[in-house]
Amino acid sequence: MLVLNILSIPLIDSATHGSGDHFYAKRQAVMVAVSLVVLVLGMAADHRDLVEMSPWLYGINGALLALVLFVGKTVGGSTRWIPLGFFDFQPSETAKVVTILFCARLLSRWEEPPKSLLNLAFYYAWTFVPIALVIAQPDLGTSMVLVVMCTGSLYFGGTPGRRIAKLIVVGVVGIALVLCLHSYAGLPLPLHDYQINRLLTLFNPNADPLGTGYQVLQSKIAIGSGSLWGKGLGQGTQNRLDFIPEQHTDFIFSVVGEELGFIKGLGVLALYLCICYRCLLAAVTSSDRVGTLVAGGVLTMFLFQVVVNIGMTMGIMPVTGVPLPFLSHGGTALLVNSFAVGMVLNVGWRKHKILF
Amino acid sequence: MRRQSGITPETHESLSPSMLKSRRDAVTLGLVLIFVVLASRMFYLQIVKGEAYSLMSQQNRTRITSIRAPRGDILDANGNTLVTSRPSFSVYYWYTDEEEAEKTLPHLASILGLEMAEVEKRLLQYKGRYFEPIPIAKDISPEQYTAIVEDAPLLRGVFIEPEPIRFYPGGYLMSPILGYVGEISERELAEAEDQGYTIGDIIGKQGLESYYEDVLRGVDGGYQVEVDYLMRPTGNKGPGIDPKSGSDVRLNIDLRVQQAAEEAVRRAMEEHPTSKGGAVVVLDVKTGGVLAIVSAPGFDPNKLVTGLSQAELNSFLATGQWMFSDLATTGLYPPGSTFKIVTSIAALCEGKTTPHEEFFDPGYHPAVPSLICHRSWGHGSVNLAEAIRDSCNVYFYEMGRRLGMDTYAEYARELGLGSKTGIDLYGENYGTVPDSAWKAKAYAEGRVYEPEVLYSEHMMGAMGQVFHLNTPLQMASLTQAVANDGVRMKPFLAKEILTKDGEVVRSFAPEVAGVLNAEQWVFDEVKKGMAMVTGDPNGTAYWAFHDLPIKVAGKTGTAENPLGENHAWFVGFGPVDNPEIALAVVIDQGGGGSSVAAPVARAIFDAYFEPRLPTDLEAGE
Repeated sequence: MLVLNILSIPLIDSATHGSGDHFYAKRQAVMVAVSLVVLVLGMAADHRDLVEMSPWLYGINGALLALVLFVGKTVGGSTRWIPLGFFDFQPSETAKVVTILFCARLLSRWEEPPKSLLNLAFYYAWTFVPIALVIAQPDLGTSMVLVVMCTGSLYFGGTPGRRIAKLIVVGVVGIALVLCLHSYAGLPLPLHDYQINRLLTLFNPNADPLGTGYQVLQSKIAIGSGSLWGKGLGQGTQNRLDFIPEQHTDFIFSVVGEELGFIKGLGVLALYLCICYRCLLAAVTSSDRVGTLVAGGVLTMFLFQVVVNIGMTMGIMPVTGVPLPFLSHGGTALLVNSFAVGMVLNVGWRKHKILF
Repeated sequence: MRRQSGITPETHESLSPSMLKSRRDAVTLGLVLIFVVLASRMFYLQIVKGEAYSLMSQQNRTRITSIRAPRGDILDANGNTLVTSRPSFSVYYWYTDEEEAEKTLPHLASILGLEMAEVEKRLLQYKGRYFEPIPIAKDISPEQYTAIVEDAPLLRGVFIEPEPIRFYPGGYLMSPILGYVGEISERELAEAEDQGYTIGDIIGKQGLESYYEDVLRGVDGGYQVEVDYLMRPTGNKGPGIDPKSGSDVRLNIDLRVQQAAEEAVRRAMEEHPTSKGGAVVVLDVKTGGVLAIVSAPGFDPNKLVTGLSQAELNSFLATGQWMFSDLATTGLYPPGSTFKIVTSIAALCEGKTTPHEEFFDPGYHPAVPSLICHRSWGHGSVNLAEAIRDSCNVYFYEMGRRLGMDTYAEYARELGLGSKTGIDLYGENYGTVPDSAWKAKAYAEGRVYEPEVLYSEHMMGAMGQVFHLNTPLQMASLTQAVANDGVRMKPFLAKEILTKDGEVVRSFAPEVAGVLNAEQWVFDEVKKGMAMVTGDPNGTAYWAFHDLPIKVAGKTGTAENPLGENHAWFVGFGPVDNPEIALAVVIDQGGGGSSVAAPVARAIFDAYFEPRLPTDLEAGE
């Protein structure tokens, strides 16, 4: 994680062309330093206390999410940030960790994992409030992360895998059905056209190379042209000449692919794999159910974001505003992710030996 | 499902070990699978398709910007400039995005005095090629230049480039023959794509500019530029090729004679308001080189090269295509009495008359009394030379009757009528030399009322008044052939092609276009008659030439025009004894050849002979 954090500094510097006297890189560096403190905090706090506190956190975070809609800073059409001087606070990022904790609390208070339709509906209803507020920003990506995390927590809470698989199938088919109804029957959706287009573009990114598919095509060109060894940090032409959109945030992995190349890119992937595996180990070896749920939730959060983000830059996932943990520019996300890692490490320490 | 009241560590039973183990294995498998998918996608993009994507990223950021080659000049025989290029400033626009364009372009259009619709039309032409600068306006005024520079912060993407622009110092002078240049049209581009033309290129549109396009054009250079995602250049330049400038074309034209001819034609047109146009061709008798060529009214090509605004274009179109027509090589006129030269040669060669035979003209032809002479009381008894001098219609009716149309048509064709002269211009007309075969064909096509040549037509055709149509160039060429004792030279405008350093890379040699095999005395007799036209007090053009110290020869013509006023003709050559130049003058609907066309020819002879008549001119002052 630390390697990724530190790597993010020169990458962001490159992606922002050292603009504003390396403003972005400097801010990221400060954030990396702060995030180490937060990591230690996460490790020090007992995750059980955190879970205990989660209804309060849930309430506060919900209030902040509501607040953002009124006083938030708007960038690129969506309102996500509460300006706090030096950096802009993004409540939708903290909502991820809060949701993990809240779900852990919900699930741990049930004797048996939820199986019936009624119980599942009840479970999802609790998470509906933050998700709805995030969609309203609008931030489709983060709301998807939240939904997936809830589902991941279910899995680690003990709900049978077959039931979850059914749930996923129903969910995906449901979304597809709604999209079809929207396209062909004009069903009104609380989404912007561009968001729907992004989802649809996944299926044919070359159809409109100057429109929605443009970003994906340029990103693929960037990664592909990196070849084996990359063009060198700061040397990527796709990056330097702004062919890649949002290259310091959502499309940071395009810069990784272009400037670092295949070998070092594999290294970055391996680091993510390590983090995910560490979360998994913490989850299955946790001495208590809450620990399993927390670590499992964090695992789902990272894994989903990594897959969707990197998949998006390589044209195998739809373009959604999901940042890449640790590498994308964004202070709140960095702090939240560090805290999450801290919690997982804390869970890991309290493991008990399980004899398989 | 019951909800519990409190959370205590004791109630936090972890999942059963077996379940945890299966979950661990399942998730591990999932993790590995997912990362293998991501890694293989990376492998596919970076290793399998790496080269293709490298190329695409290279193409993404590099564009070729061309540097226009300077176009060659057109010079007269003495090196005077007829067409050149001058420096100017053009306005270009780098299109970035719609929002930016909506702010910038209306402001730019108002500075340049353009309609927004015109600017938008431009943008549309360049759709999909926005990495190229879009030309918005050419040759802007100093005021516009200043306004654009001052408003630069409001005009993002707008820039000014110095650019040579075609300049025609003579304005209307020789305009339909020199032609003009303009931006290549879509149709021209489709035809010339393999010759390296691109949209926005300048191409010769008419006349010599078009005919010698390959010579004048040169080879454009270009260099690679790096562009960003909005196709804006970053300032990094790659390797390039310097442009190779076009060659100059030196013509046979003598600017002094040309100017005199232009002036004389325009004066004649002013004095005879019925006239619609005029044309002159002056040829070197020995070589066929074109010394002067006029087509009036003509146009000012300087107005065309900068691209016309819609309003200007409308005013041009209102006058029709007429001003663009090159009457000298494409204008078709009945030759009228100038055709009597052909009939004379035919009659002598065929033995239908002798130089001494006299024919009595009572004012009408005895066989067909309705065919009258232009002098109602007749010319009395005339021989061939006198008939030419008087332009006696009755004498030539008789020759026509004796020869028959097919015979003198044969001579007309041998003297170059009815075919292209081969001058170095596009679009030259053939004209018409009627004979019985022609008439039968015209009848079949429904253009004439009867299939055979009528008795009266055999007679009237001898004076070029039955379906005959010729270009002024053909008549000049015919006159040149007669002056040169039957050897007809191919008329040619360009004498040499030179590099910008003045080195001759190609010179055009005179070519014989045809030879009329006739005995010398035939030409002598016809020339004698033509000399009497200008030199004998009874000659039809004596009044115009009597005080010219150097003796010249000629023939007037007044061609009847069923659509309006008569066309005035004069063909001639001089000096009589050792001809140097031959010319043809026609004033479209100008009236009589003697009164209208002859003075024009006189002015041209004056200009040509001026260098050897210093004392006369001084005496005249």
